Amino acid sequence: MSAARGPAVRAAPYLEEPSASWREHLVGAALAVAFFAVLVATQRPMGVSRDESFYWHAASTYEGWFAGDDHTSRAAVDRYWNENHEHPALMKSLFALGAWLWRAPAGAPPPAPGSLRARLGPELFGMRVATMLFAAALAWMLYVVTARWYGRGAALVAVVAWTTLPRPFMHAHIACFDYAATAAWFATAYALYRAATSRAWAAASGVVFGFAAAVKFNVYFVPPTMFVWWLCTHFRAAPRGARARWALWRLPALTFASVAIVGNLIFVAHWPWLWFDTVRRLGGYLGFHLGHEYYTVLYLGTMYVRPPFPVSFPFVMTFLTTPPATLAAGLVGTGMVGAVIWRKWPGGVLAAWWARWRGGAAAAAGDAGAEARVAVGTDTRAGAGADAGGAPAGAASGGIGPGAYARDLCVLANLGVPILIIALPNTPIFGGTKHYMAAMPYFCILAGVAVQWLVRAGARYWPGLRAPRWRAAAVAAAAAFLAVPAVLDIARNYPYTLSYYNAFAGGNQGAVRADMQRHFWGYAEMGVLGWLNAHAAPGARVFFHNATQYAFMVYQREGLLRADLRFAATIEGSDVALYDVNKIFAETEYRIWEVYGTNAPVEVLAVDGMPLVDVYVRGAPAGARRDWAY
Amino acid sequence: MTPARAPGPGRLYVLVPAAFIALMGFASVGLGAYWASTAPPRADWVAAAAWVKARLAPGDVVGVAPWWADEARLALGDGPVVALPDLASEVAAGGLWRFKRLWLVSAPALGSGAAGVGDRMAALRPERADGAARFGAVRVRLFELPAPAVPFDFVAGVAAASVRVEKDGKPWAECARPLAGGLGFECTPPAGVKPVHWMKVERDLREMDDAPRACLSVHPWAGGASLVLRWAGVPIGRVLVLEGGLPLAALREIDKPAARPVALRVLVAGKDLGVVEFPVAPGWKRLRLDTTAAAAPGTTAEVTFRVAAPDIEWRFLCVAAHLEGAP
Repeated sequence: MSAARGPAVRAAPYLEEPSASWREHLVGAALAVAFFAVLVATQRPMGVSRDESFYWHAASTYEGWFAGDDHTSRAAVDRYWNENHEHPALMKSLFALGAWLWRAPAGAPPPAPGSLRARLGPELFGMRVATMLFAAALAWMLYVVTARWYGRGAALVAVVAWTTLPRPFMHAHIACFDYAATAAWFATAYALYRAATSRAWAAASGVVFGFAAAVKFNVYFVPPTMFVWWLCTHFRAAPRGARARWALWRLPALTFASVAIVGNLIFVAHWPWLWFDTVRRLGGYLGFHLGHEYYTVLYLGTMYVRPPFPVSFPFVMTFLTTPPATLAAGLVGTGMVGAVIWRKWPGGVLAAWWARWRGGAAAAAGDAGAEARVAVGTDTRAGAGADAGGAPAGAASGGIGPGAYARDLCVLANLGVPILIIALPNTPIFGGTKHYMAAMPYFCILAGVAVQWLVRAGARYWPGLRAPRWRAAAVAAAAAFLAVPAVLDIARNYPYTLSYYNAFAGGNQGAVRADMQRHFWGYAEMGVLGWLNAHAAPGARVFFHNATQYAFMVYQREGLLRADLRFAATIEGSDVALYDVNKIFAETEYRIWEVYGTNAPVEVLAVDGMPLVDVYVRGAPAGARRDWAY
Repeated sequence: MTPARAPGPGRLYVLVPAAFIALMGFASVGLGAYWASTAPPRADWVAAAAWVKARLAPGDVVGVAPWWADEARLALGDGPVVALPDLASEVAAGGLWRFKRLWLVSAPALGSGAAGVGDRMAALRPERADGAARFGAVRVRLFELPAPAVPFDFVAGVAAASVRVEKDGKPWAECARPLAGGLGFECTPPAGVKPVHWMKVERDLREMDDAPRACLSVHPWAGGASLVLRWAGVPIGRVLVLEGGLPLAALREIDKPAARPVALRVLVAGKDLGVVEFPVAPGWKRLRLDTTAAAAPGTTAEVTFRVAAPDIEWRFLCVAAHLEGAP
């Protein structure tokens, strides 16, 4: 009997019964809470990036509007909301709320040493809580959705893989939008996925989209992605007759009407800046993002300053900045699911066309065509015969249901689109990997799919894996196997995980050898604050290079930087200069040599030998010339 | 009767991906630890630097390999230290002409050519046995450099130049206002021409071809005018070494990669040695112009550089020159 050989493994046996019971929510919530606790415990040493400092200032400004009495006049709106109006208000408002809740009341005594407030900091932690909550929420969603789609084992691996990606790990802490935007993307895509089969979700998808759009611009790419997904999963089903056609179209019509109307109403309503002069300001907002300026990026030895940017960028960066075991699992999962999708469509259709074109193979063509129609057609259950298995019975004619093809295509589409957007030669590619970070939860889902499938398939050959509890243990062990190298990588780079390169890049040193950008956000200056506190002369003026004056202010307010030190906007006006070691800034370092009369740093912050920040102290009197060897 | 076997993947379909993932996991841990271990501890750099500094003589320079080992520069402290991506090629091209000896302080395990640069140097220049030492992961070697006789350095001698702008062969604008510290001259544009920040000749330090280059920043003028730099009574050698290029910072701003180059004409004792063109492209051009036909070595003569370009936006030409060769 087949049972003697273990459970049957079909062509795509990674599917399990869909479920999202209270157990899934409980486990998802537990993972979310654990992740949130880790983030809280590790946030303090994370440097203040340029963007975070801008948002800190914007949030502080908005706080004035919330605290004031006049919330509706144009003067009040313009006064407060003009600040950083190139990004919507939701996250910055949440940052402000968090700071307001966390900050000690005016006049309160300083926190006792060792107290929670002293350990977490007086204000910045409050600002960052919103991002950390979004991070926890995403872990929860990722677990529940993956469990529903592919099973609990895959879900566990997906969450472990996602939460231990070193670069996103940094983003999960800071008061910026990128991690929340990833969560918003995930939530919106899932809402639109469910909207294909549920009127309630169709109506609610506009609400989800509205709040997601209020996080960051990126989420505007989700509705087009999911519309194409919907077409791919429905268009072959076009039934005859007006009623049948309406039955097919009504849910997407409701969905996209909800997105367009409800979503955009929420978006406009949430942002006081858009309450006046709405069309012009909305145009300005969209124009800012559609015509975003280009920043210099160093990639494989070439400094790119304008298009065309390398198409390979997001692929190579993913290869070099994802922990290798996670990368391998994700690639295996992507290959498996991609192959299944390809066989269904367009591979099946192409095979049928090819057979027809060759002639003499009508039967084969007919069979393949029929399979393709089934695959993309009305009855996604039909895929169960070959490779679906996860579709609920009765998800037939008219509704797509959470069938295998629809689900797999949804995952692949949301993995591919963020990456492909960045791969376009005219898309600015500053910001390392953060601009296509929305793809990575899907990559981790596929890593989970791969691991779960391997364990189940392995049960055919290793009897020890046949018992469900041993299979579960094996999946858990595999999740730990993925987590250990990733956590080691995080530990080795912490708190500079935004500069992480994996072992295939040769580690951080390898990235320097390959002339890759080490960092981009002026966040690593945090690492030399201790040196400044210990060595800078009283009242010294410090040039913070790529870090902003707002970041300098935050460091002082947080008690991380001596209060007597002063910010210097120029090298000429400074006594101490920090230099963000980066080839694209080389002339800044030379300028420091010239102005300071020395070419020797007095401190170097390095991670595994990769210098991140150099500290210079003014030496010879200004204007004294030296020959710098050349 | 033999029971039917459930359809499923072959063993290899399971083993290969599982082995792939496992291999990547183990490789990640192993390689990660290995890469981290290749960075020399700070103590090694400090010991090597102390040893070198105790032996440093006038005319010596310290080369750091790999070029990005800022820990080495930290340990060496202020002084003649160069950190170049391709140190050996720079030596071969005569780039370190200011120096007589090169101390090479390298961490071969860090890569970026650090392992091979010493041997490349040894193939180029004589190595001194008394300059070799090893301090943990850091190695020190000492090489002799050609140290040519240099009668005149135009960058260091910029204060001795007279600078003006000529149009149709006639003076058009004077650049006579000295900049602070003798670093160059500021120009006074002719009537009707708006003063612009680039209307000057200035000694500068720019990033050129991944290296800091001391040079004169000269910007061409519009309308067919030429920026003219003259040095009178220059002690002439045998060769005029001319170097230059457009800094990356300027190239970033030039939106027409196919734009026409900046031309620099060299005259020695009134004799035209030719026009050197600097394209709108990254790189540090280096030429050796024979001056013996224009003026005898050991004599003095006037040397003139004339800079002109059809397009002038962001054409901050960074140019360096010196005369080489004893009479």
